Amino acid sequence: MKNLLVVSNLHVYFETPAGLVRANNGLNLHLEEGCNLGIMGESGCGKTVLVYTLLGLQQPGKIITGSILFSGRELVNLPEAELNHIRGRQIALIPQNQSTALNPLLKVGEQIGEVCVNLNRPDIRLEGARKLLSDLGLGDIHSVEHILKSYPHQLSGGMRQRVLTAMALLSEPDLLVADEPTTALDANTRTTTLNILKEASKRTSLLVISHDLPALKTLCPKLGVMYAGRIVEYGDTLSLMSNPLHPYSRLLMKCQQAGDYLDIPLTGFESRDLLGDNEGCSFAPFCPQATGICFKELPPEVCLDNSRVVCHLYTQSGMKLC
Amino acid sequence: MNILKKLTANKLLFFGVVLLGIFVLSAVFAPLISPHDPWTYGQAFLHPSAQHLLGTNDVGQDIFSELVYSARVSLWVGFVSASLATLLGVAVGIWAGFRRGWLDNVLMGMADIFLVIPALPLVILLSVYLGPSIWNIILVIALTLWPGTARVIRSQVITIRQSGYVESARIMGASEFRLMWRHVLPNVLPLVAAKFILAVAVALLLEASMSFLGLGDPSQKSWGMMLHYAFSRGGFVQNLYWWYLPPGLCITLCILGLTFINMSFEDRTDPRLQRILDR
Repeated sequence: MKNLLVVSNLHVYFETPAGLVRANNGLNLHLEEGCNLGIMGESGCGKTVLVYTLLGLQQPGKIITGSILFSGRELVNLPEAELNHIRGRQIALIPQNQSTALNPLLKVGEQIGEVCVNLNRPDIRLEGARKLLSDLGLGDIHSVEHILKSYPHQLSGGMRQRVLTAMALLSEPDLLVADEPTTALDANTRTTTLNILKEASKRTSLLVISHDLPALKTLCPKLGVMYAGRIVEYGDTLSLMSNPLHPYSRLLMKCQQAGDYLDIPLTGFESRDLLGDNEGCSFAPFCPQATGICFKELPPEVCLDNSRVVCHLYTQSGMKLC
Repeated sequence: MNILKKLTANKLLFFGVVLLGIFVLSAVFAPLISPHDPWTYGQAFLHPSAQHLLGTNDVGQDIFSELVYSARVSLWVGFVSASLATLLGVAVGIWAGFRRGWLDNVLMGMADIFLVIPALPLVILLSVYLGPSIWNIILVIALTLWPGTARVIRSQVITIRQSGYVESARIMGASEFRLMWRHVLPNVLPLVAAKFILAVAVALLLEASMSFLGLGDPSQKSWGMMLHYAFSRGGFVQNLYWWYLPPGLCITLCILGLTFINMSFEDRTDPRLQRILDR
C-alpha cells in the first residue's frame, strides 16, 4: 500500500537554559494510507512535539535534520505560507484539550464558519458541518442547529470533542491526527470519542497518540512505541501487544496488564529527560537486558517479519538491518 | 424599559452615563441651548443676570453660551484623540504581543521611550513645534496616550496567544491575520473599552492643560481656552468666579462621569474590585 507519511531520521531540538533538549532524536515512522497508526510512549518522550512538527509548528524547537514526506512532498523547510496551506486542509489535528480549544467568545457555528474561511471553502460553509455533526452522533438537524447557536461553555465535553472533530474533518483531510483523544474522559465519553474516531477513519487515515492501549487496539492496526524521542518498536498492534520485542515495550505492556498490582521490578526506572547527548541506547540505564555495547553504541533499526525494533538484542542474533 | 432597568441596576454606570450624557447633549444641541452667539461682542464684565446667566467676559461674550459651545471642542478633542490613541495602541499591542521577537522589542522600545517622557512637557514641546491647531492637538495627545494602551493590550495578548483556541485555530490553518482579528481581538475588547474611556478622560484633561497654557487653538472655544482667557484677562485677579469656576467644574464633572463608567467596566472585568467596592 502507498505510504502517506514517511518520517525519517527526524531530529527536533529545543535550546533551553538547562541545555539542549532532544525531543525527537532520530525518529523514523511510516504510515500507510488507510492503515491507522497508533503511537504510545511515556509522558515527555516527544509525542506531541512530533505532532506539532508534522504541522510545522515545532517552534521554538528546531528541526536539525531529517525529512517528513507527506504524500511524496517534503514538509521540512517548506515556506510558512505553504505549510499553512497544508494545516487543516491535508493534515488536520484534533487538539488534546477540548475544554480550551474553542474560543469562548464565538458561537460554535461562527467558529466552524472560521474554519471554512481558513480553508477558503465558503461553499461547504455550514451545510457540510451540519451533516458532519449529525453523522458524528449529535442527533437530528434540529439539535445540530441548537449546537451551532451555542457558546462552547454551554456544551458538554463530549459535544465539544465532536465539534472539534467535525472542524478537523470538514476539509476532508488526508491525515487526521488525534493527540491523546481519550485522556481525562470518563468511560462513557471515551467510548463515544472512540466511535467518533472510528467513524472518522472511514474518511481519512488516522494517527493516534495515546496511552490508552485498548483504544489503540480498536482504532489502529499498526502501533509504534516511542521512547526518548525515537520509535523503538513498530509493528502490528496485536502482535506487539502479545509479543513485544523491545525491552521497553515489554515493560510497558507488563505495566498495562498489571493493573493495580505493582509487583513488576521497576526499581531505578524513571522517565528519561531528553537533556544532553548520550552514547548508546537511551534505555540502557534501565534495561534489564543491557550489555556493554548498549552503553557505547546507538542501536540500529532491525527488521523482523512485520515489525521493526531498535535494540542491540536483535543485531547480536544476526538479524538483518533495515 | 429593559435598557433603563439594566442601566439603573448599576448605579455607578448610571451616574456616569447621566453626567457624560448632559455634556454630550449640550454639545450636540449647542445652538438650541445657548441663549446668545458665543462669538458676538457686547458689554464686558457683566455680572450674572437673567439676561446673561453667567455674565459676560472681557469682550462681552456670554459665558454660559461659551460654556455650552466649548463642550463641542473639548469632547471632540477628547474622544477623537482617545480613539486614535486606542486604535494605535491596540494595533501595536496586538501585533507586538502576537508576533513577539524583534518586532515586539522594537515596538515596545518605542512605547517605553514615549512612556518615560512625562506627558505634559512632551505635549507642550510637540504642540509648540507643530503649531496651534485643533488637529495638531488631537495628534499630539494621541501620540502621548497610545503607549499605555499598547503595553496593557500586549501583555494580555501574550497570554491569549498561548491559549488552546488560538493554537487549535492555527492548527486548522488560520492565517496570522485571522488569528489576531477573530480570536485575539474579541478577547481583549473589554480591556480596550476600559482603556478607551480612561484615555478620553486623560485627553480631556491634557487638552484643558494645553489650552490653559496658551497652546490651544485660539480660533476655537474650549473649556481650557475659557480658563486661559479668564486667567490672562484678569478674571482670577478680580475674582469673577462665574467666569473661571464653570469651565473648571465642567471639566471635573465630565472626567468624573468618565471615571464612573470606567469603574463600572472594571468591576465587570475584575470581580475582585466589586468585592472591594461592596465593602
